[in-house]
Amino acid sequence: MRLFSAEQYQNIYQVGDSHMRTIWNGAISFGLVHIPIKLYPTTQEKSLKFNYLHKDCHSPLKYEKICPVCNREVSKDEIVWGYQYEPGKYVLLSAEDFENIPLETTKTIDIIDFVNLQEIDPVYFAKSYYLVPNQGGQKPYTLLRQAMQETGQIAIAKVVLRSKEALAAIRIYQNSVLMLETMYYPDEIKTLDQLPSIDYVSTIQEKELAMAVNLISNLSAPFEPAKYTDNYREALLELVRQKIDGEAIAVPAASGRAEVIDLMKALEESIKASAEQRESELVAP
Amino acid sequence: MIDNRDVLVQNRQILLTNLSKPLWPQYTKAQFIEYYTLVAPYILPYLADRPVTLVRYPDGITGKSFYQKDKPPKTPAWVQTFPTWSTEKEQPLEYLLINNLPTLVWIANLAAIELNPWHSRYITPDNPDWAVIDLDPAEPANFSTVRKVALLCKELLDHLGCTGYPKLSGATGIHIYLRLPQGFSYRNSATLIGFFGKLLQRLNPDLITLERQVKKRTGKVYVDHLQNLKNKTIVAPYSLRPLPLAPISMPITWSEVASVFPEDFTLANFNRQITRLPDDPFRKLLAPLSRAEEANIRHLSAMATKHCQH
Repeated sequence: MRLFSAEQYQNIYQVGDSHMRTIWNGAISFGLVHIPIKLYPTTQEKSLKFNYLHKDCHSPLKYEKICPVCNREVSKDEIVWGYQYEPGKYVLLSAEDFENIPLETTKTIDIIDFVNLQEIDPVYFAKSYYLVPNQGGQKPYTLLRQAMQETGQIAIAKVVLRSKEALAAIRIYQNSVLMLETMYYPDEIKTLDQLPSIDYVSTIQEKELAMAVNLISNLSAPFEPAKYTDNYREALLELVRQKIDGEAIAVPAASGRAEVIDLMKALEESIKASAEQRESELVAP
Repeated sequence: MIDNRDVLVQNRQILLTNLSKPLWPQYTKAQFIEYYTLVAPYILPYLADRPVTLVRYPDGITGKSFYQKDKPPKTPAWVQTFPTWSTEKEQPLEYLLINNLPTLVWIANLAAIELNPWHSRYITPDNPDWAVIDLDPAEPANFSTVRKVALLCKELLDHLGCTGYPKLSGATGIHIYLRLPQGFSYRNSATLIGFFGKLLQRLNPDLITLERQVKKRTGKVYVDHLQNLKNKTIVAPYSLRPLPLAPISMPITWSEVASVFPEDFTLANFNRQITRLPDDPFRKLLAPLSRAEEANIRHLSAMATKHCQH
């Protein structure tokens, strides 16, 4: 019994090889320059996805939209949108209602300052996006990129993403493309004084320090990101591949855990025991 | 007797301790934890995302008690917190957020009888989303005097076009909650309720007092607006109170106000009482205000601020 179709089999070997989709259209503005751009995601999560199958026949489960009151499947044109404003109570929204809501008006990335990248601690960076010129934006885009290359500075900007005004940096990535890095505001970063006391004093022997320094220099190497892999995902993938190829699988035994019992059962048992004890105390003289 | 049990609550492992210890002479800690477990679907919406002050009674209601704001040592990593700065103590302070059943059960195991959440959520810590009219009788005024004043509040609220949500304090008072529009400050909230108290007192000066000094309140119901200031809290809806009958701070409907007694809602009879309420009378408090009502509250607030300046 094959659990996977040929296509899925292919997918297992090339996890997440999807093409890029624009997630935002807008413009960079600084001074009088206006650069129409598109935003693309730079990263993707690569965890494996699994499907629910019926245990007996291994068919993927089908999801049906069933009305529990009328006790039947409902078709697409019988479905309306409702917003639950309190449990069990809904307001209905029509397609028209959605159209009547004005679209985000500020779709600009407003450059405020230019600064040196080295001045920004990495803790400020949240998420990266590729910026690609949209129609009519090629020339000013190139101009901005070259000017930034010339000065070696990066831009700090305000941008409205998903109805939240975010702080962001624009920098050049691999000498070719502008990249937007959304940033945390300073008040979103927890300060050191919120940590438990770290002002303890330890004395370090000179020998110990020399050893540690030696260890660091032994391990120092150029940063090669390709070296690092997600071992759990690799192991899981390997397991899936072996299953497909019909190999025997060794399942590691789970480690033991303490006896745990159901909350209500524990409470009931204790309440019963206390009541019995009280009763016996009443009976005893 | 097995006093400590490891339980699994929504995949979180919690060690319940001293289950047979009486927290009230008539109720064990197991019964107390059972209450908060069963009431969880009702109480959690009013605790979610709100920093909370616990009142703990490790030796039961007759023993020593203490307030706890900062997260205790050995707090499990899955308990959500709100780290902030205590201006009072000038040191970091990490509030607990009771956002789910496992946290509520774990907190119940700390013998935290009373749960006192902020009027605001941690995301907008300076903007309360509800205000409370706190009615507190001074002897010989009693609960029936409070009921009269609560109904007077209802009349005045109706007149002003605002909705109030009453609950028993669990002791001798009644708390009436008002939903606030977005962006309200704690100061504006207290000013609003202070002004409401003044209007109320004008309606019936024989029943109502705004006196700060306790001995000047004799025989009247005190309308406390200062509980709406920042860092002040009021016991959560559905929280237990550390009083002899184990009363509940129970949300009630307006039609119940005229006939209810605090003893109607206690740990002893909560099961029956909760099933009587398929609709939580407080639930609308969490829904956004209608435009008309928001306008009414803002109008009242503007009058209150103006009145305050004179």
